[in-house]
Amino acid sequence: MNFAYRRYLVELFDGASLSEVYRPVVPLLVHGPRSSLLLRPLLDSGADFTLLPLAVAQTIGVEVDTDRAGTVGGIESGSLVTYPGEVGLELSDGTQSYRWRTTVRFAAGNNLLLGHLGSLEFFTVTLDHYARTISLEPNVIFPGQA
Amino acid sequence: MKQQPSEWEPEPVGAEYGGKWIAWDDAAQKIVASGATLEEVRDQALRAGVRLPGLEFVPPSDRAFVGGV
Repeated sequence: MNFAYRRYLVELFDGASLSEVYRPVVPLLVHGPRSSLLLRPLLDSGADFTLLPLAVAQTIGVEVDTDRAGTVGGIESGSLVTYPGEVGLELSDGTQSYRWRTTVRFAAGNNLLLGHLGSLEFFTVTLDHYARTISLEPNVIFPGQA
Repeated sequence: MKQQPSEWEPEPVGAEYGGKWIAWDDAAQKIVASGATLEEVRDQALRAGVRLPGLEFVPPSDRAFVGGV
């Protein structure tokens, strides 16, 4: 599967002018018992797992496991309480499609990150910033269906 | 051999969307709704006739982005 980087206008370092940045954002269908949502998370090669907003769980009818809450953090001191939930995930570029069941983490707020455990671990990922393309190919441990 | 950059590109995500949810049309070419919550943006997009809106939270645009949390 191949996807294109997406372009954003951002004030980078001088606080005044806008610069173009390209980010690896991919379309991800998230399936729950009630409905499905098409999200556009950042493919984050530094994220340990996939992190989605609690609002997503509520909308698609996923019951999160509050007995297995876990705190996660970024590089700095911020932290989030997250809860696991079972979902179906589906990646499709319009030509190929891959769907699998997995556990993701949900948290308050707006984080949309496609990370390793339960998601990227099942793919060989190539980020080609020059060509502005993202390639994901299922590997031998991919647990779902094409 | 390196691939050349693609000529196909949707519209850029403008700085005015930083810190907001946005919804893309079915072709993922145009932003059709924006707002403070996923729910309101999805509702706007569905009312606008988008069958399956692509929902995205845009990090604040007044700074570079290096990760979540």
